[in-house]
Amino acid sequence: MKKNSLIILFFLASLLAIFLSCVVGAVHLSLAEIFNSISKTLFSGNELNLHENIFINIRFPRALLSFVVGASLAIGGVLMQGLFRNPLIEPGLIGTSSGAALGASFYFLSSNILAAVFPYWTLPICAFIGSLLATLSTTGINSSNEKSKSSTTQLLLTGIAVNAICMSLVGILSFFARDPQARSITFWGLGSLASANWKIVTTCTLTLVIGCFMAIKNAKSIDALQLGEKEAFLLGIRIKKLRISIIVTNVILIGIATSFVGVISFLGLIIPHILRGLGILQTKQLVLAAALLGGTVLCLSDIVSRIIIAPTEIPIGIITALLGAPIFIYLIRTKNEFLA
Amino acid sequence: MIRIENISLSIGQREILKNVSADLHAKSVNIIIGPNGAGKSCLLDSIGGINRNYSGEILWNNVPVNEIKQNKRSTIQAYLTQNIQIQFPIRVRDIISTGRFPFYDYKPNSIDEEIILEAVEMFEINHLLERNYLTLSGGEKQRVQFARIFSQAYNTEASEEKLLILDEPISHLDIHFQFEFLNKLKAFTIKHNLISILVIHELSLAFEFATQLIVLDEGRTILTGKPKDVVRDKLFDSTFKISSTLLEMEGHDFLLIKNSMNN
Repeated sequence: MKKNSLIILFFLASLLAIFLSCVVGAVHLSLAEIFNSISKTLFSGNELNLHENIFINIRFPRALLSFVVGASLAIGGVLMQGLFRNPLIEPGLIGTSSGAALGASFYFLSSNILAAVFPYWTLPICAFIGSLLATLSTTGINSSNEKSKSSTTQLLLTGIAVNAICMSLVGILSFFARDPQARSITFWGLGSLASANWKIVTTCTLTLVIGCFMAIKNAKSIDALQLGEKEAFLLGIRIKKLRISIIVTNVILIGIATSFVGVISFLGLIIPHILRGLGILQTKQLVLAAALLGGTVLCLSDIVSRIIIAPTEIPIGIITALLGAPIFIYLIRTKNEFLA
Repeated sequence: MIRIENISLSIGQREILKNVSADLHAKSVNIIIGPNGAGKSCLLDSIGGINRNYSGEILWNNVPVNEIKQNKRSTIQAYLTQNIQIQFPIRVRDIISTGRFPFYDYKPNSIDEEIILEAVEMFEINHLLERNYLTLSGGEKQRVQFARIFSQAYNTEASEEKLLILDEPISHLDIHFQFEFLNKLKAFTIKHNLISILVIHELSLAFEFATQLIVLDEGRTILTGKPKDVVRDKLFDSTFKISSTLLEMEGHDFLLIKNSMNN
């Protein structure tokens, strides 16, 4: 299939997924209710009934948030795999996700004190600070050494070490936490979209747009980098500048999305591979397709997490890994010229 | 013209290049030969701008090469390195396009497209364009890299000279493609006003195709000059630990190498 028609297909699929996510759930919503609530909100300003309220304030922002977060994670995967030229990379690997988990754990253990400091969005702010600090430590430790400064492999290894430190600190905190706090830490580490509201959707959409723009701006350089760092340098690419730009983009995309919804694993790893298997290989097209497919997959996963044992919700990270992994195993076993 | 003036380079405690000098002229094919570990790749890296902390000077028309900004430099110099490792599936077409990356910002223009097409046809790889590079054979990969590097070295302004550097370009090729490549390189060098410099291990091919031979051993230039003068020098045989003879047949010189182990 042509690459452009694939991207159109993903776009249609994403619209369908967002629509499904709006109608499916503990309360079934009809099309008429959806139209009414949109027209009332936008035009007449009449008061919404219960179902219309569910749509406009719960389902719709949640559906959009799942799409936007999935898109951010998948673009992060494309960027980081491209930077490290390594198919095993998850976008949060250099401390971005585990740092967020550490920040969130601090919040759960001392919420009253921290809430006094940041009265608004306390949890996401703590998580984002953690994410930022961990990523900065990775890059800081790496560039403090003359030998490792110019090596992308060393940056990755430093990141894995920082990751391990953060995760063990999360372990210590949950060890000392009381039961409900420890449960909160665990569940946050598995992700949830239940907190979705319009302010979060707006913030994450903004970061997605910025991230997408920066990713596309660097796409050609990332393509050149695939030949090797020396070869990219010889093609006039400024490797250090590119590396910083990609890491900043990644923190904006992954750090902020993770801070709002928790750690959602596996999605950022598999989406780029699936797309390569479909023959989408250039970074620019990968970024666009990853945004659409990643968003669609997370949106569908969210529907599954809500309905599989309704009315209880399963953490979404469980769904992405539990359903995503077998599909991924199936895909990498198929005969395919482009799947590494 | 590129003038290499007394360059020396150490990496750690090891002295890799010691007072290397040579003049490289436009429209000439300069071939570096030398035993393993002689510093050949290191010299190419110094000329190409990868190694910059050497002492001495490399001047391109009297300007130190490292004063040329890298984004400008990648438009007047093309360097094919050894052992290019690619991790992700990538189309052959997209690999070759990277050769024109230094010349455009977002989209290649029609001249870039024409240059790429010409390079593709030159190395007869039209049938590979949509293939995944990772699934090609060693020789096919090498020809794809030639098309990429020739697209970068392609000279649209023949009044200005450009530099083409190739590190062991023919080591994965069969004898037919080795000859074919060196013939194409020679013609391309003249047509596009290039200064070509390459490393190869095949002494008789180096003798056949070089405008200038540079013999490197333990970081020193042992001999430089016209192929015939270089191979006639007694230092040639002793450097390579061989015994060679020039054979003239039908008005053409051949470099023959005898198995000196049997003496």
